[in-house]
Parts: sequence; structure tokens; C-alpha cells
Amino acid sequence: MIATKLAFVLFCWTAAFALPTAVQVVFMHVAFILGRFLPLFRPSSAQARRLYVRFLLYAGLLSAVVVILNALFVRNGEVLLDLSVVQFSRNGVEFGLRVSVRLVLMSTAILVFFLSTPLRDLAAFLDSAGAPAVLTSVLLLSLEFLERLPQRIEQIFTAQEARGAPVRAGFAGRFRSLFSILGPLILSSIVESVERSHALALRGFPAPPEHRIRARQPLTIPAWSLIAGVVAMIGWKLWESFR
Amino acid sequence: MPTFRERLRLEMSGPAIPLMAFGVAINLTVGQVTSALKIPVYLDSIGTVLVAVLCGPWAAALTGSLANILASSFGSPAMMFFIPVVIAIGLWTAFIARHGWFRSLPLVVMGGALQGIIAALLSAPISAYVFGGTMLSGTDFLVIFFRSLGNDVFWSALYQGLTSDPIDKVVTYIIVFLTVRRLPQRILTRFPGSRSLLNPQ
Repeated sequence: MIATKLAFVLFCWTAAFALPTAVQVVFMHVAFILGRFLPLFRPSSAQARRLYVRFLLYAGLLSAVVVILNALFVRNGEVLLDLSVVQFSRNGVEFGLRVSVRLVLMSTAILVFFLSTPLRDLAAFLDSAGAPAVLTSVLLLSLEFLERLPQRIEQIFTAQEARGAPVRAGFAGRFRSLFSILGPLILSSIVESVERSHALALRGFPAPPEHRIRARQPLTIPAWSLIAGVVAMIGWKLWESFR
Repeated sequence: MPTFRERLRLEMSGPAIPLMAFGVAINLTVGQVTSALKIPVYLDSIGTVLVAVLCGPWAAALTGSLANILASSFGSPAMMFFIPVVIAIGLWTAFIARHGWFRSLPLVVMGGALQGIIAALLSAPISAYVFGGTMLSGTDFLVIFFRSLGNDVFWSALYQGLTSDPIDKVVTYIIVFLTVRRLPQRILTRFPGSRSLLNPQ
């Protein structure tokens, strides 16, 4: 199923560059609806659902800002609205709409994919698809460190503050504190990396490729249809440019 | 002369794997420190630079790419579009580290400034043509300022990048330089990039 979702992302990204803006708007709404209603694309956790809602608000705000800024600053072309101090140009509005629709379509597709796919499932899929062990290991280790690092940063911050680091002083003082906080953070990470590598080596990591079990899953019909759509869009774009 | 495959295996084995994971996590969490200290720099490539110096170019490119992919999954989908920029950061940093630039502070500062220019040159077209120059961040004000001077969206995004990126990258490089210098030699020599960091006897 992850392959189908990846094919959907590829389809939306190709559409964002190959198809006219009006068609992109349709696909953008399709992506919104899929992310909201279709179980396969629905956010996988309560936190993911919150992120999705926040993204929808962000996308609306972003589109408005992009359109307004471009309408204000792109001066050439017909003037749509003249408020004596500021003028809104047609070219600016059109450019802003084009850019924001493309951005929101691409962003929605990728976000719907990630929010509906737990990263551990993605790592398992990559592994089964034949991705190098390094890639999946780094991905999974990153998730573990991401949970621990904020706490470590907080500990170092508090410790340095207790030692008198000027974390609330003027700009120069705070800048010096940056070094005193990031230094121990990076050093401890490097030392722990060496220790972890010993632990991994003792467990026989990485296993030789012939010892890894891979259960490849065939592509589904929707995935093939989306890939065919991508090929058709690229073909149409090429035909149009050489016509 | 080792083949490309052998070099890749050397770069991505032993302590490099956990360090790459730490690099990803550092890239994503260091913003917590800068915002707590209210310092206007991103430092979001510090993990990539560290991995480039200690391990090599491809490990750094993978670290930066994974960090941006994870950032996308945590609600910032725009980061996905800047993967070419982080790959360039990894490749450039490893290139200058291999040539011994991370042995002296002036060269580190120069390398960071050049890195900032490269990052600005690469991110400007993405920022301009995909996002129309607007990223909903503090640097948007710089883009608006340059547009109000009559520049088009590409040049405004480029000028914004050239104004803010070199400072960010120089600070990143200095932090990594100072940290790596403090590493005990027995730990440093565990990484494939150590030969370029130790002073030739």
C-alpha cells in the first residue's frame, strides 16, 4: 500500500509542473479529500491529525500571502485594484495563484503520505524494497535520537545556566552561550556514536545481504494506473514543447 | 586507490551510522537552542556539516536528505524541495575538509562563507520558482525589501540568500570546527575523515 501512496505523490508532483493551474486545483482538492476521508491516506495518529489540520490552515495563509505579495510587487500588466498607495496587478495575482496552487498541491501530497505512513512502516517497506541497510538503520536510529535529544538539550541548557552561562544576557553573551550549549551536545553525540557502533558490531551489524529476508510486494492496479498517468503527463508535456 | 563502492562502504560503516542518525536529529532539534537563546540563525545544517567533516560527502548528503525528509513528515513539507541544497552542503563541506580546510580557523570562516554563497545560489531558484519567494519565515521581509527596490522574484530571493546564508553557515562551520578540535584523538581516529583533520606530522 505504501507503493500506491508513493505513486500518488509522484503523480501529484508531476501534475504540479505538467498540467494547467485549473487542473492542479482539482487534484489539490482530491488530495485534501483523500487525506480527510480515505482510510489509506488518513493521518495515522491524533498528533498527525492535528498536524494535518494545522497544515490546512497554514496552506490557506500561505496561499493568501503569496497572492497578496505578488499582486503588490509585480507591477507590470493591467491594474486590477488601485488604492492610491498600493496597486494590485493582474500579472501578480495570476503568478501568485499559479505558484501557491503548485506549492499547496505538492506539499499536500507529500504531507498526506507522511502523516498516513508511520515512519517505522516506511523503514520496513524500504527494507523489503531492497533499500540499503544503512538507510533504514539511520532512519530508525534518527527516530530514537529525535525522541531523546530535546531532553538532552534541556539538561545541557539548565546545567550551563546553573554554571553562570549568560543565556539571558545581551546578544553577545547569548551568542557565547550558543557555543557552550552546542559544544557538549555535539561532543556527547560523537562519543555515543562510537559506543553505539561497538554495540552494533557485536550484534553482527550489518548482516550480509544473503541473510536478509525480503518480502517484496507486487504493485497494485491503482499504483500502476498512477504511474501510467505520470508517463502520460510527461509524454504530453514533451509533445507540447516539440509541437 | 579504493573504488567508489569501497569508499562508500568505508564512509558509511562503524560509528558513521549512529553519527549520521545523530546528525539528522541535531539538524532537526538545534532550532530549539537558537530560539531559546533568541539568536537569529537557523544552524539547521550543523549535523550535515559534522558528518561531512568526520565521515565524508555521501554520508553527509544522506544525512541532510533524511533530515529534510523527516522535517517534511513532521509538518514542514516545503523542506522536501531543498534536498538538492543540503546535498550540495554535504558535498562541498566534505570536499574542503578533505583538503585540510578544517585545520585552521581562517580557512573554516572562508569555507563557511563560500558555502553560504553556494547555498544561496542553489536555494534561490527553488525559493523563487516553487514558492514565489515566500516561505513564511523571518527572511521573507528581506525578500519583500529587495522586491520593493525593483528586483524580480529570483534576484530578490538570491539577494536574501546572499545576505543571510553566509552568516548562518560561517557560525555553523565555527561551531563544528571548535567541537571537532576538542575531540580526543582516540575518538577522532575512529572516523574516516580524521586523516584530513589531524595535522601532518
